[in-house]
Amino acid sequence: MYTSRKATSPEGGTRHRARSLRIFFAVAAAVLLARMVQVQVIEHGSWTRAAAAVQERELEMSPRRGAIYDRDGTLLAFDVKATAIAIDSYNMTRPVELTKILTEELKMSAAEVMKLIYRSSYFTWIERQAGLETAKRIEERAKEAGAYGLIFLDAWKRHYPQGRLASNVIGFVGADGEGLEGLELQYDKVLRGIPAIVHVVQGADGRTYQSRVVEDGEPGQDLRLTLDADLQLLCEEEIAKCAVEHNALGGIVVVLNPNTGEVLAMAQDKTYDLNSFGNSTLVQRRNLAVTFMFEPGSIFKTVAGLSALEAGVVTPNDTLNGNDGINVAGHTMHNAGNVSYGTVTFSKVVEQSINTGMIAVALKLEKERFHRTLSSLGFGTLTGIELPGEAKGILRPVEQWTTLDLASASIGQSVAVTGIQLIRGLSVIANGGLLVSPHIVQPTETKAAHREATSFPRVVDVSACDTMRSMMIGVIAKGTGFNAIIPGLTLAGKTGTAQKAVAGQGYVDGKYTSLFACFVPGDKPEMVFLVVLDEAMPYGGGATAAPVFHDVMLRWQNTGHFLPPSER
Amino acid sequence: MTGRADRATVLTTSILVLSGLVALYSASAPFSLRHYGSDIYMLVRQLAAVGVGVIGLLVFARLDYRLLLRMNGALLVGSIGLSLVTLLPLPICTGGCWLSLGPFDLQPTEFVKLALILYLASSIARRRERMSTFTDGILPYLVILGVLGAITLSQPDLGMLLIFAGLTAAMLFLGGARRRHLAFLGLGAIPLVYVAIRIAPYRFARVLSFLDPQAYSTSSGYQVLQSLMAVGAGGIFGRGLGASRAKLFYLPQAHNDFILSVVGEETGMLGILCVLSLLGFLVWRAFAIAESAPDEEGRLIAYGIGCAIGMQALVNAGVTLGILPVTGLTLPFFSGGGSSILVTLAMVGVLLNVSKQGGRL
Repeated sequence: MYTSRKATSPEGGTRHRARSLRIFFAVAAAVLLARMVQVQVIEHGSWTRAAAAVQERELEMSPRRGAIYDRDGTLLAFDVKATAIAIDSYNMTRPVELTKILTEELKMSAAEVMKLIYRSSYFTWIERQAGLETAKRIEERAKEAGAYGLIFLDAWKRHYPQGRLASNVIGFVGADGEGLEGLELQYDKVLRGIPAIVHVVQGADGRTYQSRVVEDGEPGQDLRLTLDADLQLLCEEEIAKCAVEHNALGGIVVVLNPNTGEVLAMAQDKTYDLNSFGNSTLVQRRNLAVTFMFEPGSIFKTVAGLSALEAGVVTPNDTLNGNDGINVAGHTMHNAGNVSYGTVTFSKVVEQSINTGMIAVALKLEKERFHRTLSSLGFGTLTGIELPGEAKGILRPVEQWTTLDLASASIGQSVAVTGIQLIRGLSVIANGGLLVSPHIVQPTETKAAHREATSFPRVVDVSACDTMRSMMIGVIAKGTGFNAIIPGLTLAGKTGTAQKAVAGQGYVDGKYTSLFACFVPGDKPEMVFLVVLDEAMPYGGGATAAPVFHDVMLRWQNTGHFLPPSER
Repeated sequence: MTGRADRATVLTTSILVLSGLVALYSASAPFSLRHYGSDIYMLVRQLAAVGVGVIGLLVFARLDYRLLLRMNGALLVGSIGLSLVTLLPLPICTGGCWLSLGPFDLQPTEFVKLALILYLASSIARRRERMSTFTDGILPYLVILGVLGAITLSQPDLGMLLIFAGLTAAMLFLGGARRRHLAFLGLGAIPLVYVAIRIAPYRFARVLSFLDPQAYSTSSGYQVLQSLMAVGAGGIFGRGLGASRAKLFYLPQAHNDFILSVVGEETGMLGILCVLSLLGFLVWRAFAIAESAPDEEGRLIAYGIGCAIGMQALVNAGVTLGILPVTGLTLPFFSGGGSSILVTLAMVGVLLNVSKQGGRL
């Protein structure tokens, strides 16, 4: 193939030696080839599996979390696109510049940033939910500064456009996208949807370089609430104002549609900004309407009266002794302020909230009968509202009841209720005897149809309810609820002022729960209001709680609701 | 007296350079993007080095190698001197075998490779008659090898020392040194290598992990294991060009010493076979040029260049395939690093000049 001029050599065997060299190379090449066959053909499968174990993963990709709307479609919570930022400290450059950029853009202290970026890891979270703009700025500034090592990933950030509004109802979502409070917690699964399963190829830097959807997920479902954001806002503003004015420990306003069980507002004095829930306290986050238990006081006269009316032991015009002091099983029970009213009608007993008259009526009832009414109105049991942490209230079993208990319960002592429980019980009077299920989330269409089919159970006669409601109209027009009067609007209500019982001390002076309940309109209720104030001064329910309703209602009218006929 | 340069060598070199650039781009893109914000960062650097290298190739191809031979002493002393600089505590000495010169890093020992070939060719040809004696045929080269060994072990770059030793041995063998002497040299080297391995813990770890990569999968065996995963998963046909996963920061030095792993993962056994066949063909052409060289010096130069490229390719492939301990040697034409491609192209230039001076192939 080639002709060579023979190179001369002292040993003469140079051709032979050159051949030896070639043979050496050929043998080495053959060894390599054999090794290639071994690794790439024979062991191909096991190396592929070994590589996959390191490089491939199945990840869950969280879909957009469902939004939360009020009944009119006002957005209360929704997901916005965000960027999660992490650092690979092994591939990091210019940490000083990086610290400066992150400190400035993320409002973190330099010490915090340095603690994160100097952690020896390929992947350390810095900020899980940075805004898109912020992340973009950080990326650009890092690039300009020649600082490397930041990792940017798509993420979702929960946003609450109304800030503090209904915070105790809505709750919030943690950094992992997990509902932690309120409806966000209760409806976590529904809102979250089903994550897609994605098969990814990741680099040693933790980044995804290839991805393939293995299983489609499902986006989270939206929630439409029964709340009316406008009404909720009014209630929150008024109860907060009142709580401050009267130095109350807490205050609640609940508004329920007595015919459907829809919660229209669930407000309290303490709220917190859902967009920075980290700064909130446990006290602020507590939903008082479902967790706070109190003795209902005189408001319970409506319930006791209802039981007596239905049992036929009393009529509105029956006369009773309204003087102070009534002996019950050896105990003397008094009127508020020890006032004596003389001989009064049952209507007057309700209007003026006369304890002795009420107890006299209750004593005509069998305790089993009254207890049954209380049970059938849902006292002592959960309402099942879709909020976490609901308290059950206290209604001791009838076997443990004495005559004294019967008498006490008729004026709202020795029983404890929650706001939502009490408003449900009162709704029975408002709607003519049906026990509704309070709810705050509008059911999906199929569930709504189901609910329609299974109508609410009747627990009290219509006539007894109507009678009690009429007497409650008198409470506003002629009785203790006069502070609620709104010209042109018929209202039915009841005040309550309950001395607080303290564990181990019994009833203590100076600590009261002030209450006011009101049906709007009084003749054909579409809304039931309940206002509760904890340890307000002055403590009279009519003086302190009724004005909250009054102010809310007036402002509600100003936005075009429930106008008196003359102004419509 | 000048003929034409060997066309097959030119063609093979061109293909090697181009496929080397493709492989380098693929292997370095994630690294470049991550650290420099542009996927072509390393490619551009390599292109610059190739540009300089091609100029070097053209110059050396036209420059009579006998002129180079006249300067062989100066070249060897100069390049060894430069290598010694790497051991000094200077700001340009960035550690290991590198000199940092502005935007580029220089690896002086790569240049020693070419200088050593020229020196050996000149020296062996001169002592042709006395090569069979120990004092003339072996001893002076042992001294030079000792100096080079001291430098490379201090850097430390054991791989380069192996190439120097292999190159010297091959050229002495071809130049007529006695087999018995060479065998003695080889036996003598064993305890030296053993000591070199034991005094540097990392080197010992490399050997241990070579013997049992799984047991050292988190430390020194990591590279080899990642390399085997890449090559093994590549199979016969590979994952496809650009589809390597090892280069996604699993495999350190993916675009340098372990670029063949990426080639093997992306283009499979067929890809590695192509690369090694091209390199093998180049070595074969170098040997053919050697056989038709006009003089003993030319013959030894061509053999030396063929051996240098061939040995380095074999050792690199052996490391990649996990049958040799990790040495840190580059794969000629493929691995990133300016000095390596520059010197390789320069060597091809010299080779082409020998082919021009020689008879028809």
